[in-house]
Amino acid sequence: MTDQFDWEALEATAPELMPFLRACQEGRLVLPRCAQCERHQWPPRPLCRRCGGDDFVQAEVPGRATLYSWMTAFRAPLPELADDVPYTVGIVTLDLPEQLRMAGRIGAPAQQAALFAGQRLTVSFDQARSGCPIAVWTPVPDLSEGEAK
Amino acid sequence: MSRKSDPVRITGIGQTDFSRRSGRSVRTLACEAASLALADADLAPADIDAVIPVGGSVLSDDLISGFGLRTSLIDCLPPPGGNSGVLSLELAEIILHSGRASTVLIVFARNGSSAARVTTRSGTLPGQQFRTYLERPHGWVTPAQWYTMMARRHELEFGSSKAAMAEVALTSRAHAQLNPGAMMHGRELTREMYDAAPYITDLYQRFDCCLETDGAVALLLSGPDGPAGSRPTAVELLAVESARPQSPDELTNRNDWLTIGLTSAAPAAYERAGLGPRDLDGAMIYDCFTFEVLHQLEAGDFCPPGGSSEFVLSGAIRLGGVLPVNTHGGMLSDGHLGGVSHVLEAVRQLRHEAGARQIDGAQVIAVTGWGDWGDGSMAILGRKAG
Repeated sequence: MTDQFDWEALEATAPELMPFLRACQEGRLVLPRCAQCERHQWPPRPLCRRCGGDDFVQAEVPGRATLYSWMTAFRAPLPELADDVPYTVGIVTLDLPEQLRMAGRIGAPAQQAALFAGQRLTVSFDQARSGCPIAVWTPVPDLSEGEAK
Repeated sequence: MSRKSDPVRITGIGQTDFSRRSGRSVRTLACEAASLALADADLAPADIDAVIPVGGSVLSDDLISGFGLRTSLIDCLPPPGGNSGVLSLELAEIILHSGRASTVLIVFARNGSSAARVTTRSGTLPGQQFRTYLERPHGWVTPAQWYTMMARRHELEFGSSKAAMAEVALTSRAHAQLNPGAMMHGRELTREMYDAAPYITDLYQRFDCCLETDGAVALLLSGPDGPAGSRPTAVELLAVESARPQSPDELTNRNDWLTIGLTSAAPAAYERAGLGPRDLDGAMIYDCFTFEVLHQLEAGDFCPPGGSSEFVLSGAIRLGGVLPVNTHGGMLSDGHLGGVSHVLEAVRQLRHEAGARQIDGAQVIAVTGWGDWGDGSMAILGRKAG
C-alpha cells in the first residue's frame, strides 16, 4: 500500500479531522474532548454541544464499540471500490459514556447475515484505496453468551 | 376583501417531456416548462416578479437573458437538496404574503440522467468534510447506502419492511400505467421482476430506487390579490411547513434516526390547515426510494410508527385506497424532478384533470419533501370552487 493520501488537502479543507486521521494512521483512536466540561465529541464541531466551549484536547479512547446499524454494498458506487464489493459498512457506538457513533468498515469475518445490533466489536486500522486511514471494526465473540440465560 | 394571510394560489403548471437523454440544455428545458405554465395561467413573462429556481441546475440569470424576465426580479435560491421542491412553496408564500411580488415562478430543470447524475449532485450537499474523510473512505457514499442504514434501524425496531417496499414500487408502476407522460408508462412491473432485480445494497434492489430524469417542471403562484389564473376552480396552498432533523449534515450522531424533519413539519402543517391526515384525499410523497415512502407515511402520521407495512399492504396507497399515493408514478416511475412534479400532480388532481388516474372528488392533498439525511416538509393543497 502506498500512502498517496493528500494530507495538504485535508489540512486546507477540514483541519479539525487531522488529529483523528493522523491517529488512525498510527493505530490509535483519538477524539476531541472539551477542555471545559470534559465531554467527548464526534464528529468534530466548532463548539462543544454541551457547554459551548471552543477549546478541545485530543484524547485517546478505547477501541471497543457495539454495532448500531450496517449496510452491505453489492454495487461499487465508485471505481476505487470495485475490488471491494461486496463489503459492509457499520455504524458503531463507542464504549464511552457519551454514546458517540462513527462509521467504519466491518472487517472479516463479517458475514452480513451473522451481524446483529449490539454486537461487540474491536478496532483495527487500515487504509482506503485513496490512502485515507480508516478504522475497521471486527466482531468479537460474545463471551457473555450463556450467562444471561 | 383579501387579507395578506389568505392562502396563495397555484395558477399555472407546466412540464416538458421526461426522458433519459433530452439532448437539450437545462436553460431550454426550463424555458419550455415556464412557457407552458404561463400559458396555463394565461400570463406573460413580464408578469413574473419573483423566481425560485429549484435544484441549482438553472439559475434566475439564465431566465432573465434567456426567457425575457424582468431584471428587477426577487431571486430566491433554495438549498440544493431534494427537500427544496416543497420548501419552494414556503418561500413563494412568504414572498407573496410580503406584498413585494404578485406572481412567483418556481422552476426545476435538470439533465439528471444524461449529465448531472446523483453521484455528482451529492457533492453540493452540506457536510462535505464528513463525506470525504469519514464516510467515503469506508465506501458509504450514495443515497441508497445512506438510507439503507436508516432502513436497517427501522427493521431492527419494527421488523422487515421488504414486502411493503415491493408494494410501494409496484403501486408507483401501476399508477404510471395511467399516466401517458410517465417515463415508465407502458412498462409494467411484476413482483417477480421486482424480486429478481439486482441488489444495490442488502435492503435496496433496483426497483427500490428512483429514476434519473432529464426534464423540467414549472409552477406559478399568485398572492391573494394577484392574477387569478384561467381556471374556474382555484388550487390554494392551505399550509406548508418544513424542518430539519437534529444534526442535519451528519447522520451517525443523530439521537433518534427515525425522527426526521417531517416528524415536526407534518403536525405544524396539519395545525395550520385545520386538518388531519385522515382528512386528506391523497398524498404525493417524495419517493427517492421505496423505504423513504414508508418512513414518511409514519413521520407524516398517516399511520402509527412501525405501522407502514400493514398500512401499505392493505392497499391503502393504491388508487381507490384510503390514501392514494403518487398517482402520477412518482420519482420511482414518472420521473425525478426534485419533488416539484409531485406538486404538479396534486394540482392536476385538485383541478380534477388527472384523467384515468383521477382521485374521485379530490378536495385536499398533501405533498411531502425529503432531502439529504431527512430534511422534510409538507404542503397541504386544497381545491376551491369558483
